[in-house]
Amino acid sequence: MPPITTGSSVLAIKYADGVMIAADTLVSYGSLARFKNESRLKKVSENCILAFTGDHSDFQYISEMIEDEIERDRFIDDGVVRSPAEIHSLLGRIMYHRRSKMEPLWDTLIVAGRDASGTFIGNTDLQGTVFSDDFMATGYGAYMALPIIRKKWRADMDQQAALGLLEECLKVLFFRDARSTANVQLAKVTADGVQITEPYRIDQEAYWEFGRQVVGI
Amino acid sequence: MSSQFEPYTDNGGTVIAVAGEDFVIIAGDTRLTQNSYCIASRNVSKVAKITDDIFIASAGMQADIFTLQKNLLLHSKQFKQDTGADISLSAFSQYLGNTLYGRRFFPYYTFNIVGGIKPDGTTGIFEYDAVGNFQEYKCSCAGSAASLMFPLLDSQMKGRKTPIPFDEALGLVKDAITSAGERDIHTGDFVKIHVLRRGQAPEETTFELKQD
Repeated sequence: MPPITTGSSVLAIKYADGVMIAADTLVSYGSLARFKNESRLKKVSENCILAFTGDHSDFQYISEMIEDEIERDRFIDDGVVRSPAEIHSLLGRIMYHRRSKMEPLWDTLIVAGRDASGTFIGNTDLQGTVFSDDFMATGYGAYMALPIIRKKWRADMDQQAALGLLEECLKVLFFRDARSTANVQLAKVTADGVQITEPYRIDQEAYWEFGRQVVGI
Repeated sequence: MSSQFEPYTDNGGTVIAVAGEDFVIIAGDTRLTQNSYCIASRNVSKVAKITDDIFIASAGMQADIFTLQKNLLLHSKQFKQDTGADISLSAFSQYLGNTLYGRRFFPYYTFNIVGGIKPDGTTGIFEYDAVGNFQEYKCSCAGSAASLMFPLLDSQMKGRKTPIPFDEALGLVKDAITSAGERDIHTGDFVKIHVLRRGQAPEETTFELKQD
């Protein structure tokens, strides 16, 4: 069961105020850039974001399932909110279960958020791999962005530095990932809750200036 | 022609355990590899505590390792709940063998080493294959660099007339994993070393390997 409509890289880093996640807004259909303004970052609770690389329909199924779980928590009405780590754990079990039935949800998921005990970024994939770290990248981002993040990341980065780092990575991915676009979205989870930006472009005229000097080809 | 889903993968890494007369050292690197060449994380432990006297170290596919260790831990907690006592090393080692064989036709892609202190105070290490064959040893290793470490372990441990002293064992474990980190691309970053001693709480230390 191969993935049909797919999303490419997702990046996530912890920083001083919380966690920041970035992804472009492209959902591809093989080599066709089919849906160019699709959000791949989803708020699932007041303190948690879910993002995906891989099949879009499987992600829609997963998001709906998780949102239902959170909603069911609300019915209990005891003020207890599922933490990002708990959501990550639940997702990890679901993903492993599906792989063990040989009916995988063909995604690599990033769960990022913050709760009373601190910030959290977790990763789980179609094979049931489960881990968490201070920063993460999926898809091509794991090959191209992670080395940049590893070099420049600091635990106490402020908002501007964190944004700069992610935008630099998004730029590199736009340049080299053939299934990416320059239309991106950023999200952060801080003490003020979840904020997801509107999509914006990261390509600038300046990138293509050198083209004017190219002659002959 | 679409690609068939592959339920198995190798996330790399290596684990090792050495037993002395009244201690067991059990260690594993913390590198998580994906798709052969990508380092997904430098800080994912392969070693889990089952009780104060029993630790398990596993190499292979991280999804199966995590699930297996989670289930074993659950079983141990249930055992304590049911009987009032911590599960013994011999019971646990047998249980793991049975658990692995229970998945004989869709195996846990895990290469396990169990190390611990027995109720009588003696030490033991058990080495497993993916489907539950196991045997007791005084030292063992498993994972992507096992074939690099076994010759070193053999040279130091085979033919010993007396049990290995602690400092020497710790040096051996560190040397073995460091050497593995030099030559095996999947082994590196950090090593979590756990020391179990008769009558004491387990101690954990971390030391660094090269990140290349």
